[in-house]
Amino acid sequence: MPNIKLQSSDSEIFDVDVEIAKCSVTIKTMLEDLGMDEDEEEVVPLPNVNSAILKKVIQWATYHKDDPPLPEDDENKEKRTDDISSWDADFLKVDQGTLFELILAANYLDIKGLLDVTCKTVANMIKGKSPEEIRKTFNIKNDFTAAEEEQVRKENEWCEEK
Amino acid sequence: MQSATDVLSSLFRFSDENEDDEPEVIEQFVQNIENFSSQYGSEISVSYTAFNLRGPPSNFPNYGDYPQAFVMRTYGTWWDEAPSAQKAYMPQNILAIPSQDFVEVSFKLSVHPLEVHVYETYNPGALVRIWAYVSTTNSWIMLWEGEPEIIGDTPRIFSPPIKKTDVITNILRLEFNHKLLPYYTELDAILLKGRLLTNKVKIKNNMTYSSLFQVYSKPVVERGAILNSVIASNLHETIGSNTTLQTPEKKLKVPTQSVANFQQLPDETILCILQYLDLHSLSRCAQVNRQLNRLASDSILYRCIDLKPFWHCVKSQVLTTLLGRSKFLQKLDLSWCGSRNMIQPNNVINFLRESGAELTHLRMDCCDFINTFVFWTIANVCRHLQELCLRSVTGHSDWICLSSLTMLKRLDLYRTDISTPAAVSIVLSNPNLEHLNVGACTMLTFMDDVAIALGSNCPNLISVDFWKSYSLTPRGLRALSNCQNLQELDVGWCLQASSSGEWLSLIPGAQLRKLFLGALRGVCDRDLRSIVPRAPHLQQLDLLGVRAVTGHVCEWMLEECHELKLLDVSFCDQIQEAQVLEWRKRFPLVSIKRSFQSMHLNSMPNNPYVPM
Repeated sequence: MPNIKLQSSDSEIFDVDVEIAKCSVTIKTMLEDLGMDEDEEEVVPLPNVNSAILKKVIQWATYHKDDPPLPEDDENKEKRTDDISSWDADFLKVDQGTLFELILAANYLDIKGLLDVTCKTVANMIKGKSPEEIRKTFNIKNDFTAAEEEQVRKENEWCEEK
Repeated sequence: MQSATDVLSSLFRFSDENEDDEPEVIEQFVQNIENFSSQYGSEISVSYTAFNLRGPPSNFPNYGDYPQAFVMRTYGTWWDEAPSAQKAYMPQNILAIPSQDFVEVSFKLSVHPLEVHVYETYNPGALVRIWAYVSTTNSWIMLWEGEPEIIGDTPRIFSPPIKKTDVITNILRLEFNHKLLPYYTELDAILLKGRLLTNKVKIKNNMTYSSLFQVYSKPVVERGAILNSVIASNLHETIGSNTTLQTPEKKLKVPTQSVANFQQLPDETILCILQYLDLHSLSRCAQVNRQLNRLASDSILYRCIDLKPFWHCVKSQVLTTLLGRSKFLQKLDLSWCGSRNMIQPNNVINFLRESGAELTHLRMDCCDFINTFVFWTIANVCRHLQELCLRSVTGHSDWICLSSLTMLKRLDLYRTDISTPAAVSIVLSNPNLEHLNVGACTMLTFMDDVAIALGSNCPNLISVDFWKSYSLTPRGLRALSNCQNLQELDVGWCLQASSSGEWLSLIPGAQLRKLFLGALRGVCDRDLRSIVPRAPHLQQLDLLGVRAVTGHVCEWMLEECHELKLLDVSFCDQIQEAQVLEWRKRFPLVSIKRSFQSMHLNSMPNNPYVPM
């Protein structure tokens, strides 16, 4: 299997199997558009991904290299969040910052499977929490005015039991 | 059966420990059936119907299959595995403990509920929730929630620990989850034990009914309590030690090492996360801050709305709130919602007028708010509907206006009062129809006309459910020979079709997965031999009460049908118990069903059950 070189934002070079790198649609398109020759010693710069995150992304892509392609059709996509594989769950036992950076990287590199599983993980962190607990969990500031907050509460409290 | 006077006189049992200051504690059995989602019995007899929940138990402590009990339409996961299975529109909304059926019952006197006892006399364990209706606040509170269980072959009085509450109620709703049931579950009676609100107490505390409720109508059950605990346990693992449910204050002080935090995520990515959330979580997100309010209200997240899991708290106001988010609405499930006037027809009409034009899927099973105007609105506004489910909707004569719909692929009218001309007209205007359920429609007095319309007009038909259609005859069934894609046919209890089973030789078999022939006494071995060899994919076969069928043909089918998973031979008189036991050993991949009544068990050797 031919390899290609990926360069992280902090200039670290990763030697990666082309087929694994191609699970990123961004890299796949780049290779196809540029018609990169597999013999060339060219380096693909990834200025939006640091080495720590790129390493995790490659680890994920390597494990999932034989996964069947995900359905493109958004309508039929599985919207449940209790189906995260145990390997992925272990893989995503990271701090919040890393998790968000993985999401950003998956988004930038266009790796649908990784984006799905990271987003599901964050969704699970939201589920079952009150608005205040969500703020605390993600360090989000409440910027509603008192009047706005009352209005928003009225609109959205219907599924809270009274 | 007990006489009506017996029932009435035994509706109440006053406990005799009434001290002067103590409010009376009374025990009541069900007085009326208010609503229910399905029943095995038919509208024209009381056998196996919800009606049997009235009054004290008739069967208990006997265990087994008795017509004096309430039996629901399905058990296990067989219906979910059948070609006609209906998927949830919003899978992220599915509750931790989903339910497939409910029954709503009323008692003569309102009480503070203390105990609820459910008499289960066959395959117990499916009850998962008990709700109490509070009329003063027009709302429901959950008294109990629990997982479905496998209890085994024994009768029981199930008395789950209900929440302590000071509301008063005389209406309970019970929800059931059938997934673990090996066969139909049967319920004999429901007893509500509660304290009467006595005049003495009222005078002493100088409280009126309404002031009592203001004090005590606080939440009794945190709606997402179970979900909460599941997620919380998961969180320890997912978030690491430096993010912090337990010590959120620390988090604010310690500068995070990473560059990314939630609010730095682009809108598009946050939407990507929010699309996995149920409506409850979305409503909570909308209350976090302005950014999340804007994103959690984004119409892109509301293309499919499933309010059925929230039937107990959906009021008209909810539709108003959701209206602003429903620009792209395609699928809407309002099933079970709107009981006790919690939703007004006008709100539904306005909602559909504003957001219904692009709807492709609409479910309103058991919805009390449906009236003629709602029908007209559906017929005139929702012109793109491919799926329409109106199970148990009755009391309206304007069904025929729905024939203005022309793109339907699925139409579920189980237990409705649609008439023959309306049903025929709808079928004729929807040539792409794939799934039709007209089971237990008592006003469909010429079902043959419907079947003939299907046969001549709907070549893509995949499933049709005629369950308990007493007017269906072999003439109508023969018309289905044109439906070459037929995968599922339920003609259980279509008694006029049972004079002979010769029509089975005309039913297309190539795609057939499910064939329910319950109680068709005219079907014999020869008829089964005329279809089974042509149906290599047959998975579910119900022969309940098909008395002429012999063990020979069953054994032959078990050997020949390699995909067979379910075979019901209850009340097949020519098949011996011993044969069934032997087949279960020889064909472990087939679930072979055989109902029993405890009186029969006395003669059965080696049965662990001893009737009480």
